[in-house]
Amino acid sequence: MVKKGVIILLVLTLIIPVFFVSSGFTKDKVQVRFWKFTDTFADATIEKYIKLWNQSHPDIEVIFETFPWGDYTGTKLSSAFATGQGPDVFFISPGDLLRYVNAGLAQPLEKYLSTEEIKDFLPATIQSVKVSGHIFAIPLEMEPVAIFYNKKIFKDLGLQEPKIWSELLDTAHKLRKGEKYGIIVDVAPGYYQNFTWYPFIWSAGGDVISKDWKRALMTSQAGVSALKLWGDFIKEDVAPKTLPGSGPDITMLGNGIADMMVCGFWGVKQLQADFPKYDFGVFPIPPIDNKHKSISVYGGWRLMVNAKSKNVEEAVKFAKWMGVDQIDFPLEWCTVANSKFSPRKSVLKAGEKYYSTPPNDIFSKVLQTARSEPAFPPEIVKAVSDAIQGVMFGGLDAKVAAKQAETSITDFLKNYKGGIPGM
Amino acid sequence: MKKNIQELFFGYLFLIPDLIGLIIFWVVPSIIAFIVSLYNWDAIGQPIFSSFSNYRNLWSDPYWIKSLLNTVKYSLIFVPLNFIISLSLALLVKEDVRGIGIYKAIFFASTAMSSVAISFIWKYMFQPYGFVNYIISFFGISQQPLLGSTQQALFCILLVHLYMSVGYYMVIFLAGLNDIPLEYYEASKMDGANTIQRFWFITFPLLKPTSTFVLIMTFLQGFQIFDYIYILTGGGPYYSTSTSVYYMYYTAFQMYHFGYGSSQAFLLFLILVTLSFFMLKVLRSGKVAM
Repeated sequence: MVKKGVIILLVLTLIIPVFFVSSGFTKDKVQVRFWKFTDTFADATIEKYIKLWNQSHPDIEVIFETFPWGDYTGTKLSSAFATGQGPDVFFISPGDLLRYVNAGLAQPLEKYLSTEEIKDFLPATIQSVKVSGHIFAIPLEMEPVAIFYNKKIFKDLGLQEPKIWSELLDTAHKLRKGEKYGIIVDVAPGYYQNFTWYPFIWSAGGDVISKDWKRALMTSQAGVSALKLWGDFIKEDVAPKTLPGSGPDITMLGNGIADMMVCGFWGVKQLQADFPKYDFGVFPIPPIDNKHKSISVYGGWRLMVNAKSKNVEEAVKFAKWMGVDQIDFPLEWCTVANSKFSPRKSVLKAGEKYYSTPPNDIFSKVLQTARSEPAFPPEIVKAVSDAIQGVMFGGLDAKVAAKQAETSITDFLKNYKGGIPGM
Repeated sequence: MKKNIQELFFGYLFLIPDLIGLIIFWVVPSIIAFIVSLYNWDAIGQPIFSSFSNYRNLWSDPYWIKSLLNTVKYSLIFVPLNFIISLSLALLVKEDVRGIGIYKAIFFASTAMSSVAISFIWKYMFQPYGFVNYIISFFGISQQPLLGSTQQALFCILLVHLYMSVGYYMVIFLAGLNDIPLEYYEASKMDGANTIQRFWFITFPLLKPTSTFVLIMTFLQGFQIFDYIYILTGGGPYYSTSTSVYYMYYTAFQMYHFGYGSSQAFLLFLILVTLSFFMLKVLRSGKVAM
């Protein structure tokens, strides 16, 4: 009798929970899954606004999930979409945008945005999420790149902020002392190294490919010079060949590995938080010479809606609420949780005081001539990456490296049938 | 007869769970991987059938060929070094002296640690002004680029891999050494054999089954090296540490060419199966009777 009772209890223990996890008890509201990579400091801000959304929208529940950076940018998102389990709203990088657009996974958003709402965005930021005339994501942030430096050391050595490349290299030499290097540039192959290299080819008057994506331009004087400069950083031993941290990690500057570092606006908050006594300055990436202008790059994640989501309308509503309808979240995200620029004029105006405070004001100036990170497909990213790695570590002459990259890119463009960003 | 059939039946019955697992987690994914290798696919778009073009493209991909050569070079160095070091350690700690257990624990400790955590620590030690350069400076050697050198980076990874694996194989060899009857050594001592002769004519031949296992396992490990490369160098500088598995990961998960990555995986599988088969055949021939 007791044995029967135990068996019945065990069976009930297995069966009853099924009812709680099935759709019956919880699914009278639409659920929107929102994914991004984990950012232990800033995610609390998103959680706060999601809580506000869930309280004010009882019919649409947003479920926020984050994943370690490596997983999210590596296998997680791709695997999820490959198995039809992709989230409804997700953070997308400029580098990945085109791939999702070409795969038909990005929901066009222009019909959900009024003319005024679109006008509130800086034109270049809307262009950067436009492919074949459609807007495929909501820009959330802009993080321009510049060069951070140790103000105290500069003052002690009587150094000025370099204005052109020859001065940059010369300053790096003067800063190279003992264990300390002159400048940190990313050494690991990949998207981030390319991202921080693009301003150099642009500031020399060149580009990787033509705007219509018909021609590769790496063998231009600008391309060869930009490759040579990065090669010289390593060959002349003014930049470390290996880094203890990842490329975007500004703490390497704070820890004294070098006295200059190519890094993005996110570095301001990180340096202020982790090294409050470090007296740092920022200057724009110099142009190749006085005849050219400094042109930086800005990255920044976007909100994309899954076109294959079962709840597209609700997902768009949420994404729009976060990135377009209000000022509070974008302002707090950009100026409190992080140090980023908003792509919206109204938010930039609301954060005017923050953006005009040094050293943020330098980044404000940098942003005026900065370009969005190119949405190159992996084949072009690899070609550029191989060229940079070749001159830095492979012993390649800059012209040879540029030629190899141009050949790879040309071969790719011949067969490319996808969308062209910015058109 | 009936008992035999019954025993056979229950024998296969108990094998079924393992077989099911093998089919679900090995056979089926292998078949799917081969099918994927016949397509151009970026995991999120529509797969486009391309027949064997991915396999043909491998032979014109200089970076894949470089990765394969790096893998062979790495294995050719890693396998014998690991063998010699772990066997030497096993012979050293086999002696029944006081406190030898501490040494066994020290040598084995690295095996119990996370390869990711250890890789990060070594990454710091390999920095231009890190611990490794500090130590070699005592020998009058100037600062070396280590992970920043296309000539040295692979050897740095080799060092970390050896550090993590010799302890484990030391224990394997220790088990094999303990299986050798002491009478053989006693008899050889009576015949006047010295240490080297005892090792060469008794220990080494009787360790053959253990040695075969160690050689095959380390060979497979060498070919499958990935985690240390991922943390320490990311395949750089300039593909100097890119190995077959790392390039396969890079192709699939960084370049989003899953079809091309699958073709590399399948080819690597064929290479490893073939080489393992021949290794087993060669190493297992001429079994030594105990």
